Amino acid sequence: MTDDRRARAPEPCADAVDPGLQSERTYLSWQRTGLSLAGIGALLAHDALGRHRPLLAGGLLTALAGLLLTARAQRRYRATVAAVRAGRSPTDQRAVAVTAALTTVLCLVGLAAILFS
Amino acid sequence: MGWLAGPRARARGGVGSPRRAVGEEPDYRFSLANERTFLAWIRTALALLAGGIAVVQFVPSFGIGWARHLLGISLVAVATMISATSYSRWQRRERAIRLGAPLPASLFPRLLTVGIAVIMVFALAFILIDVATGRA
Repeated sequence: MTDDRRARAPEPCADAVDPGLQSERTYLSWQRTGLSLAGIGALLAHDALGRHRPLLAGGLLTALAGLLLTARAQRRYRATVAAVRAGRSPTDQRAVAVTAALTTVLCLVGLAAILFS
Repeated sequence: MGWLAGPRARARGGVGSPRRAVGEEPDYRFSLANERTFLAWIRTALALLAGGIAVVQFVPSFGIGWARHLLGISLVAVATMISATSYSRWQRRERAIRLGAPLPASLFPRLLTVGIAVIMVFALAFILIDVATGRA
């Protein structure tokens, strides 16, 4: 991915426009969040195998969403770099909203799983 | 699944721009810092959720039968509170950044600290009761 980016942006001091490596840190933050989500999905699926059969689908879906989010982090990174270079705001309201909604639903599923165990 | 659209779509239609854009285009570093703070909150919620499920699923039963459930439910309830308010917190800060206003003050971190401390005190008490009664 890095090579891909270099090929498109050959200027040697490209990183100088990004002091503090903000885009990289945001990328890694998205990646960590995606991986955490995948981990929770695995935990839910594990719980489902033991006691709550209906949770299995939810757990697997969550794991899938986590992996999608992790994969998307790279695209988001490239979009951020492009937006910064073009002087546009890199804000992505929809991604934030979807992530917040997903986490809230997941918390409610977890609450239900505990209450009905 | 439009949010999965790549950078090209975003460059075309400006998918990523806030719907209710106010003020000026801020320094992108502030926006990204705000986004990372949001993600840190989300990860906090996910960690509390995992802890809540794990305490019910994996921890051996305490002497008090409902102890595990009390801990698990309170942890997941805190996680729900965090994630349910995370979007509006992000948006309020984004607005403040765009308007060049001071970041909105929030009681939330203080409430959260107190809440987690209370849950931990309960966990400690359950363990100590088990130790005192010779169960552990």
